[in-house]
Amino acid sequence: MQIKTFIVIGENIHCTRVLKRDGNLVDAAARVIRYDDGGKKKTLPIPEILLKSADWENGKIKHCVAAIWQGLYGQGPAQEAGCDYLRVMAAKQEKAGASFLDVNVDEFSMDLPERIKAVQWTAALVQGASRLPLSIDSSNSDIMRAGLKACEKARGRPMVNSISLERIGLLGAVAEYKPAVVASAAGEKGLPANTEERLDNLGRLIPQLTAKGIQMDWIHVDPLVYTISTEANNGKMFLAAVQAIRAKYGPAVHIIGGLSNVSFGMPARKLINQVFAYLAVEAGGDGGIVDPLQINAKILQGLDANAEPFQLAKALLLGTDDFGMNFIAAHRAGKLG
Amino acid sequence: MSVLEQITENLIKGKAKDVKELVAKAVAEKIKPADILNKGLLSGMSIIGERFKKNEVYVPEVLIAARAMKAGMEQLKPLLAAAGVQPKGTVVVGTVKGDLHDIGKNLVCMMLEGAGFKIVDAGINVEPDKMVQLAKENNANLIGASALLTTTMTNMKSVVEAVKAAGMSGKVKVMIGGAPVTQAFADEIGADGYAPDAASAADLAKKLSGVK
Repeated sequence: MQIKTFIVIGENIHCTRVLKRDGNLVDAAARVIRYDDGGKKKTLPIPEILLKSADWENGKIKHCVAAIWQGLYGQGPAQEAGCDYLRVMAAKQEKAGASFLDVNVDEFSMDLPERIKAVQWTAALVQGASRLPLSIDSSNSDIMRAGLKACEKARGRPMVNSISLERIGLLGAVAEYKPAVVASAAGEKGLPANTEERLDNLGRLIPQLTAKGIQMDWIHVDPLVYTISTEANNGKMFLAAVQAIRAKYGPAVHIIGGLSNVSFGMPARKLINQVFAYLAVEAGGDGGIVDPLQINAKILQGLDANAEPFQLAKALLLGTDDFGMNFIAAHRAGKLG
Repeated sequence: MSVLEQITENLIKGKAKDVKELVAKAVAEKIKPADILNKGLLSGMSIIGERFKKNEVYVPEVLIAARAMKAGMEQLKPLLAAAGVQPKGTVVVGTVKGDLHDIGKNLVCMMLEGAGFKIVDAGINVEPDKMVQLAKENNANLIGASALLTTTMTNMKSVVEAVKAAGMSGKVKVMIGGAPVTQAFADEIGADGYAPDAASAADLAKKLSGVK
């Protein structure tokens, strides 16, 4: 299969993402997060406030929260490190072929005005480090508006991640900013259980978007990815939905998804995610909200669909490997690479 | 290896059919139903829970162990009832209003069931009053509230308040969990407990119910 384009909405600048306190990227004794800038080893001091958090006690650290906090409130070198950390994240994703840089600060703090400040600041900083348009990722409409407002018009259409029947209140902002949109297949009251419900929800959402002047090729449909670790058919169900959406809406619309959700609770997540992206493209998809360092057109093109790890992941994703037992056994035997 | 040890071992491996047969064998050997439950089935689930906490096993392996547990329980349930063995407690579990995430909630249900609790699954997007009503109807001693979003975790406070408003404080304890939730938040809203993962939720439920 030829994979020439794959729209990557780079998901890495996201305040829920955690590093393990005891992992390679954290030096707990020195209270810093380690990062690499083109071979140069650097460190980001962890703010005092996060060292007192329950996350830290539970062995985790939200690394983007640490960086934004230093950038907003830190002093001297610590503040500069916070800014640099985010700049490096942005530049890496751009270099790896991202089309949009997703920014999510929903977990930055409990305080809405503070989160609004965080999205404005982060949007400005990231735009200073990359030429890419941003994707503002929030479940809160005030944060969404503040983020959109902070996007430079000259660099191209920003993205709203996401609008759905459940979040239809965002239509006003969509009409005003004319952004690219992630159109989620979520319903007013719940998540769709099958392809029919997805098509039904989208059938009621998409006309509302086009009525506000959003063109079909600005729309990135997210059929919603559920994890296969709890229900073996979830991979197959997503791929079937991609096919049906492509058949109904034709070539203009983009079909994406938060593809890495599929591998939650499984080992060898990167492999599963890559194979899932490959299968999604086969089914008619053309992008994802993913880490471009793990998934982009070039990486997908380079996958060997006949290799054993690919086949094992494919069987898992298509629901033919009961409870993933073959896949997990292969992982334990070191056969997945 | 005793039959109870065999039950534990096969449950850990997720062998539902073998667990079912071994439970029948244990019953035939006149082992007390409560011992089959505690020393056979529940000890297996607790080992799986520990391994899951340490990231040594993966979600599907917890699921097949839970399925094996269920297969064993089906054999055992009538006998437990006849012997007057009660569940360790009854828990109403739900994802709070405005939140549609159910993976974590479902794992918690499974681990609680595996720890010997009766579960009332309230589903997702649950109104606080609905949780309280279900607790009342089922004579529950615990409510477990889950949230994945910072925007919805505030609705956990409404659950605590609804329990208070219904005059059930102390009688029904509220435990909370989910990605953005912390012990500090639990303290702030006056919840009775917080668990960082599904296996810990089972430990917490036991602690709050005053059982082992």
